[in-house]
Amino acid sequence: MNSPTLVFCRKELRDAFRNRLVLLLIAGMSLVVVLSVVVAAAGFHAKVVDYQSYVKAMQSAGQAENVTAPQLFPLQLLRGAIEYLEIVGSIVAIIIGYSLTAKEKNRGTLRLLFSRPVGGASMAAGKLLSVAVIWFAVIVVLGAIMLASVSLVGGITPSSAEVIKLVIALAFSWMYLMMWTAFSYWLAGRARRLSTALVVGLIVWLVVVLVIPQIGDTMDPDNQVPGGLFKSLQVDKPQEQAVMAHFSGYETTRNDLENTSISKHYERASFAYLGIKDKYNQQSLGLIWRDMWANVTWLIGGLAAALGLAVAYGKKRHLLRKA
Amino acid sequence: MNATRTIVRQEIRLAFRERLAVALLVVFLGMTLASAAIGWSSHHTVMSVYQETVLQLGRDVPNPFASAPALEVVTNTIIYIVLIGALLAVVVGVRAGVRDRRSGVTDLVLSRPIGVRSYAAGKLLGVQAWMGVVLAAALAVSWLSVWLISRSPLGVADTGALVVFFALAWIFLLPFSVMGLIAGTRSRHESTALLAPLLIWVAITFAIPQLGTAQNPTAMLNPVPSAASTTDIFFKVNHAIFQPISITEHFKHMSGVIMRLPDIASTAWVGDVLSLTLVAAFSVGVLLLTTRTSLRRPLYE
Repeated sequence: MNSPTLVFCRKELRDAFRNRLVLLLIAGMSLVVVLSVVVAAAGFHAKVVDYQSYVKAMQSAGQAENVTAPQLFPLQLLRGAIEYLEIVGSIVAIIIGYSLTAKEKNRGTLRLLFSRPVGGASMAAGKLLSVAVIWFAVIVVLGAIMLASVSLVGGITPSSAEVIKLVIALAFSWMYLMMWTAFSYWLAGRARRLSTALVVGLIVWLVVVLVIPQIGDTMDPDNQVPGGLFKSLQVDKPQEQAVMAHFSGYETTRNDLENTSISKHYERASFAYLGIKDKYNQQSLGLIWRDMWANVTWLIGGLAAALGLAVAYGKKRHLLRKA
Repeated sequence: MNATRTIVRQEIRLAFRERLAVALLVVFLGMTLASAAIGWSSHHTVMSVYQETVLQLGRDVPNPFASAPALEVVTNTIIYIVLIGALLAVVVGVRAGVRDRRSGVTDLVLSRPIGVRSYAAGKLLGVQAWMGVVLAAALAVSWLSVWLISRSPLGVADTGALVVFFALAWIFLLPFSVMGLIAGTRSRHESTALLAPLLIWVAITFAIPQLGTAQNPTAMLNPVPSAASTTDIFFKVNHAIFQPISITEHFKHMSGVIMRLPDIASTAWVGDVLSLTLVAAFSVGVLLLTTRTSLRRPLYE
């Protein structure tokens, strides 16, 4: 049980608990995730208050109210939390992956390590295994906080089906964070200058997490007019689909562009399982899987590719290159 | 004054030699061009969707894009300044701070009769002059793109609006350059220096506006600022507390006013200018408080 991989893993776990920056980043990320659930709950409360004042006003005017009361689906309160994991979580993952190599390079301990019978692949596997454990612990704690928050706020205990869906979404989150960590570990190992690796990582993060999804949203014709294009044209859903059938080329381009972002795949899969996208709310796991398998496959593929790169290029000759 | 001017000139020269800064400049200009292309493509599609709706469904509804302003096609540039421009300002600021310290030039310069404030001001002016060059190039790209798309050059009023928008972007990016400079002159490692301003940027762009508006984080990527939720006391209080420092939201709102975007709820802009100017002035003030000891710290370690 004392293989180099496990020795590295244990050492990294010990280091992580001593590293104030890592602890601070994880705490900060967890804080914004919890905060987003609180904000979502307060937002829902505001909707209920609006609805009640509307009903009151209609009743005092002697008219029947024709708006349905807002319904609380606890998992939908987690939209902001997932988006924070998508945006802030990925940046924290990049920093953690980068620091796994950076600390060895800054301290000059790489040469010492490789003077022993240790392979780069064992080192990469051990370090990434430790991060896998850390992300697992973080996700478990966040999941517990999410469950407690939605139960407290909504006053509803999520059903077993909802808990399973949350666990699936959290598993996607774990894969997504691991992917960014492994990618950043690979970058830091490859780059001659550490700061270049960090900046390249940040540029990739900017493009994949923020710019591509933003372009996809901007290209959506319905987002071009305040309140929605089709609403302003007084067009209902079936008519909208009939009109948009004439723009299938444009829609395919838009969809293909969004598909180049792994963050979008993570978002789509998580939103579907949590019922944030109305189409999948309260639907069976089988039905959601039938629609989401491609996104999940992308996510697994992205993780496998990042891990493969990190292990394959984490070799002695790559890591010991001089700037 | 002469010393400051010399430092400014040196900073601009070095920024042009910095491969990473030039790479980010290319990315930024590329995105400015892409912004116009996306704007044109979306605009063209919406017009076609409108015509198809009228033809297919026989609807007699006004064209929602009939009164769209000329600058509407470059709306996405607002968000690219918030995303890429801010990152560029931080990277250039950090590099400017780290460069002199790493090569020992800071100690050498401060051994001459040059005040710390002159040195810091020179560095900042140099970084901001370079950001000015970047924004001027983006302005030219935007102006030419709109000309190509609409097949007629922009009028004086719209050109003026575009100039004001990029001038506003220069002020908006100033605190990010300052954060980069301060982090670059103080952090032991360049990577830590990059991380600190970046995390502050994440907080300013996503977390703080969310507290006052109830919007989800990705809604902050919309070029139009999120409206404040006014019904709930939780959001009212948060909005009052955090609005003055939500500089990305102020920048987006003011940009919308300048470009005359139809989605902007209010055209009041005094609060935006006040907030952006105060935050910029505060950040410059903090930079000018830098002491000789902190700049020469490596000598004492």
